[in-house]
Amino acid sequence: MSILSKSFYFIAWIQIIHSGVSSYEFHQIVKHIILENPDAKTPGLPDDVKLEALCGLLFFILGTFISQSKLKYLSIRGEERIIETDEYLKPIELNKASSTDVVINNDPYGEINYLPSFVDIHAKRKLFKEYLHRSL
Amino acid sequence: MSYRFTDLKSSKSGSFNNNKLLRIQDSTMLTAGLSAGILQLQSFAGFGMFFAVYILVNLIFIAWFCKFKPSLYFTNPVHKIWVKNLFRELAGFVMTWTLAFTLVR
Repeated sequence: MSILSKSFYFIAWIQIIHSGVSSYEFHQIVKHIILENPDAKTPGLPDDVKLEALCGLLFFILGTFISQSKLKYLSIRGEERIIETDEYLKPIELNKASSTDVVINNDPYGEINYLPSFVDIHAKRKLFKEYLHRSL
Repeated sequence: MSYRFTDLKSSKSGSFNNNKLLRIQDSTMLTAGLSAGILQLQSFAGFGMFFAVYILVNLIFIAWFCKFKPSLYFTNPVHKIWVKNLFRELAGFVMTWTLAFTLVR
């Protein structure tokens, strides 16, 4: 969440809370007027309170949208780098969605491919022996 | 020659996009309910505000996040964006609307 969206949220909540308190105080005054004179014509909510509540809502909506960040990916295997995109949402087409996996070197079927039954255990043991040999 | 697997969709991307839309709609409609309560809206005026804010938020979402191409990000975009979450958001809106209405009164 950027500083801009945080400031939008802050302004929005200040405006909404302030308009709520103002509206509450206004209605307390109206209640007193009615108690003193039941036939008195009560005024409507002041325009500045209405405007403040609506402005607060607009700031909140803008803040919500601004707080959403663009998609970033970290490559899993190979060279580690952050891949930034210009998208907020992921494409629904499978060929485009899987192309992201290719870019970040992710195996979308890893849950299956890395099951013990599917792993070449001899190759893994060989790799591990080589690793131990190098590290010792 | 037609292929059987030409129109495949990614369910992972679909659920990611749906969750993002849902989060935006939830937070904005709850706050819209608060504003409606503070404004002391009653009856059709309150529901009118709900539909106005709901349409505004969805239009911003389609323009900003989907770049006017929601079919790239949602299967059946009319249903997913406009209809599926309507009653969930209406329930949230009415909840905060009545809460703020009674607190302020």
